[in-house]
Amino acid sequence: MIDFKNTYQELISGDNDFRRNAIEKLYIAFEISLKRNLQIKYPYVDSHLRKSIDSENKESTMKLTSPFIEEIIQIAFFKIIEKNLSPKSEYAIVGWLKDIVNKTASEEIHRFWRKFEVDENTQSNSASKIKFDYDTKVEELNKLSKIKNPSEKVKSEISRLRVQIIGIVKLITKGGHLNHAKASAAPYIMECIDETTMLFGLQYPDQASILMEYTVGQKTENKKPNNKNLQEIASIYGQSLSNIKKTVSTYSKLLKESLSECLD
Amino acid sequence: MNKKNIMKEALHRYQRYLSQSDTEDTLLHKNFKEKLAHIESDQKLIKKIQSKVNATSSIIGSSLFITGFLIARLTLPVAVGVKGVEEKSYIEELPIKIIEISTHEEFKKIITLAINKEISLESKSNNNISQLYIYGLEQEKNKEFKKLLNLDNNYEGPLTIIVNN
Repeated sequence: MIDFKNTYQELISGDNDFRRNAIEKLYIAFEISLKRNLQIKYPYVDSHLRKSIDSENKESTMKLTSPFIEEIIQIAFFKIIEKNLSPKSEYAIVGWLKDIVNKTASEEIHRFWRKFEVDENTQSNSASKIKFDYDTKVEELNKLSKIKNPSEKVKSEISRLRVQIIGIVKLITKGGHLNHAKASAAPYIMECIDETTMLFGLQYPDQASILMEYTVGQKTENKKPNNKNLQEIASIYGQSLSNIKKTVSTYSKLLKESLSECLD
Repeated sequence: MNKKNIMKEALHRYQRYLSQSDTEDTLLHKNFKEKLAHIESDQKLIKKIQSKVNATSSIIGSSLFITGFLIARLTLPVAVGVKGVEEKSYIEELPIKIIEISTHEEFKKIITLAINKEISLESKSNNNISQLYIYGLEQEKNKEFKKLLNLDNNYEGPLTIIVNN
């Protein structure tokens, strides 16, 4: 667990060595959660690295191109030193970090699209249209998902948008995104489950990363989540214990409902 | 797969998929540490420039002030002679005209008129001798006062009036 009080004092000290030390501590503590959050938010980024399942292939690919999301997070942390940024209080450190990372990601993501645009396999004039379609459809889906007791028309619109978004992501990632070879269920069921999980992450990136940490994260893996590791999750995500519990209960119900449709 | 474990399995698969692109933690942290050592804050440069600008402007500013002061001191005269009845006017330097009168009534009349016309004066009285000193009369001015003393209108200069009893 990171000592927020000391880290805050180091960040506001004005001394570059102290600040570097604090930034390093924060990076080690929060890199994984921030990375997961961005990976969930932008599932199509770095997909070319994930495609190579064979570890030797993966290593050789990664030597050529470093993961873009990891790069974004490093840029965000460097920005703190470069622009002399500091949080308002020791309690605001996590939120402040998330803000910086999210802002940097939204600034840097255009680099991904530019790369996609100049990719020899992509038609140069279609990349901007794909990006526009993707952004508007995700926004529309988020709007419609907030409607309580949706009508049949809204439900069919939601499923239409989900199919379209998955289509776009598949187009960007050039094919399906997961390997179903070792799956315990039929491949089409697994594909539905994977797509539903990805869409859930797109719609609720923060809640999905909390849920992921709670369900299968390092803190709770292979054991029943208890208050101690929930407290750790709360401190990683900069939220109170009760908020984490509420998020987990509300959104796990939502995800379960969506996933059950795949089995039905 | 049953509905009970579906969420755990789905999230597990998704996490495994996402972590495929992760670099090993030790390598990543080492790489970050190395890069971080070379990062300098932009503001430091700005502050350096600001301090240089401040020092330069203070040197230039003070030297400009000194130069300006010296030029002003050398070019502008300390005092300017003005024609008029002000202190140290040339009229006061002219030879004094002495007028003798015989009666005190006439003397009082002269004083009253001088006061009414706001002419600068000084009077002294000792026993039966009274004296009125007028610092200076200008040309073509105080015509009534000059007429009372039978002076020419063009007269200028100081005046002393004595009662010779």
